[in-house]
Amino acid sequence: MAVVLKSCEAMGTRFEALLIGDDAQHLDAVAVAVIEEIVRLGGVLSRFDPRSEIARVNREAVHAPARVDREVFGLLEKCEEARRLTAGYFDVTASLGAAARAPALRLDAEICAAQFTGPDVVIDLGGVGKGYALDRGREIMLRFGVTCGLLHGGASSVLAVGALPGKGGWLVAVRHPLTPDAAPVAQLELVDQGLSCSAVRRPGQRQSDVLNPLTGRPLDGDAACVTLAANATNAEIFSTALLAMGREEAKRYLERAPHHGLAAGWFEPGDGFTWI
Amino acid sequence: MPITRRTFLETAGAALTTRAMLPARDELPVQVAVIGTGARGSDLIRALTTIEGVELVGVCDDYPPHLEQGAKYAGPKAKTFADYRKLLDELKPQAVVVAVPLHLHYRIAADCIAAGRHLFLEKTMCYSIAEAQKLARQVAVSNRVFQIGLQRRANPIYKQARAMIAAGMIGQVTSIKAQWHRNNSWRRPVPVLKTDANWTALERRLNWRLYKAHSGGLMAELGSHQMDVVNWFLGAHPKRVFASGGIDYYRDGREVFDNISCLYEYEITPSDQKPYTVRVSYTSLCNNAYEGAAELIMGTKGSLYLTSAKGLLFQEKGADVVSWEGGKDKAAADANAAVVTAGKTLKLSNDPWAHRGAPFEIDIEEGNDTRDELVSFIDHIRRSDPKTIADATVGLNDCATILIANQSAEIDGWVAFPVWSSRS
Repeated sequence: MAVVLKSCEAMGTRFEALLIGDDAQHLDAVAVAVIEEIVRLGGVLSRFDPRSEIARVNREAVHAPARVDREVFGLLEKCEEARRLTAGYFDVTASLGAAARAPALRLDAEICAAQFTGPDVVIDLGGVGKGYALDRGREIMLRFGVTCGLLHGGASSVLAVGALPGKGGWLVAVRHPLTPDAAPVAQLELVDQGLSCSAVRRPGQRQSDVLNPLTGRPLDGDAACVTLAANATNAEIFSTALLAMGREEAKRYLERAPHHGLAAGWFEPGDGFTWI
Repeated sequence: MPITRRTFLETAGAALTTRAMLPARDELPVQVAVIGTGARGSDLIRALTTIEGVELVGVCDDYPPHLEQGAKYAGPKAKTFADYRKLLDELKPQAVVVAVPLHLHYRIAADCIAAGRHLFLEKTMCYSIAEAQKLARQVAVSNRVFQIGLQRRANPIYKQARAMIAAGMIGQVTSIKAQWHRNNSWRRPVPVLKTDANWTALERRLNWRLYKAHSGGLMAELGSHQMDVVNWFLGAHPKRVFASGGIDYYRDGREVFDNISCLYEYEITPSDQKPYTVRVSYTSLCNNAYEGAAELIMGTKGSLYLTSAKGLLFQEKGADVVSWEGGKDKAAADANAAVVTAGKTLKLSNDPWAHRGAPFEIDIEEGNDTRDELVSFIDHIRRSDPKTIADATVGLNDCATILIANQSAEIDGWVAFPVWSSRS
């Protein structure tokens, strides 16, 4: 059995790809392809890189419809679908607090174009980009016959491919982001699943930089939300949305609109971890 | 002569204001087809689909998984072809974008030009110097718009750097050091098991960069971008080169070097002084990424450190230079804010390179140079202007610059630049 680990910096964090298989040379080439894809997507999706597609859309979609490539357009459509499903709690245009009202982004599928409905709108894919990159990484692994591995971005988005040989799955320990030195609050076993963790605050951060899209105000409290889903994109979308909803609303949402394969856990320091 | 900000800004002005020309409302879209839809071809397809006034009418690849990928990015209106001659016959697109393995460049490019198409051809121009010369001659009499995919020529940082050199901001360029260092095998995965009967053929096809019959190795795939920057900035091609390379780490059946070091000599003949030589050292490695991909342009008054995403100006200490910090003249410094802004200040006390001074960062990075080079190509088609940012002469000089290094490493001796000699 051969094991290959590759890493890169992308989307402001560190990604790692751990691949397991029989042929080390093949795994190495596949891991490089996975990492190159993640780096490429970082350059496409980051709003902070002025050369990215998203930065260009943010500059151009204010004045007129901006043509978007099909890859990015597909992701924006996915985000729009998630916005509708979550009644606006997932909103890629929420980052400046401008979205506390009607949809800020208009998509034209006929010409693959995006346009903002007002000034001060910015697309920020921070709540979905890492998961999307991991899913694309998995696609490459499977295309080249690698069926076992673990991918993560910044340890907050994780994608298990297959299961660790000889085990039931990939074991992932979850700590509360506010108490990173304490013992893990949960240990989860993932098989072909995405995991995402979103938290209101990081250690040392006084006010949340996550806005409630419906009010435009920063989230409060010390909660964190963990989601499991069939893929990393959905896991990340829903950890973002459910955290913004708050525990009770999130619980009602999951009862009302169950998504296939979606599970969510909730925890606050001193209050332990519970599935909702 | 001391460089004033005024002279600098005037010289640099053109580079700062270049923007894509949008098509007039009543203008028809330019119909473009893409031949070769692998990794690079897909980058180009995605970029083309975001440019106003471009209609992607067809994509072509003879490797079905790549064609499928290209078709996905191109959208349902683009027709798909496995044979590029069928595409040319059937679609008669105004322009063709070609991103295929190097050994196929000449044949496909020559067929596109012969069919009357405007052509964007990925670097390096051709597999051999003789092919590049033939293609350049064909382009010269074709009245077609022709551009080589040397996207640094469209990159605002490089355009700005060139203007800064022309304005004398780093004095006389005396030496250049460039490298593309990475730490991976440069090997692409193969989608079938090694036990599969097709593995060997598929491996060669997908890893064409590693085999001499298809590829010019690190120099053609990586060095061509950076040596073109050198040709561009020095306004010359090299006089001769000595190179040494080998397969010293990745002994995995590849035929091209996994490392190469080159020493180029450029003879510069200014009108107002005696000729002098600028020496350029270039290396490419596959097993250490410390220095990454960058060019260091060294002049008597300063150095420019350039990458596609970042440009830094280091002034020599004590040199006769413009004060950009604004100590003496704050208002003038503010006026320069659009040109350079202060980069991260180095801790000079313990910096082993303290003599280079603190850097200023070239503060223009909007836009993606792959998209920008295509915008420029389309603009030239609209204006029927064959003088593209990387025309056949630029491409030919770049191709010869690269291939003489490979020749030198093979024969273990200096190789002179071929004698047709025209300035880039």
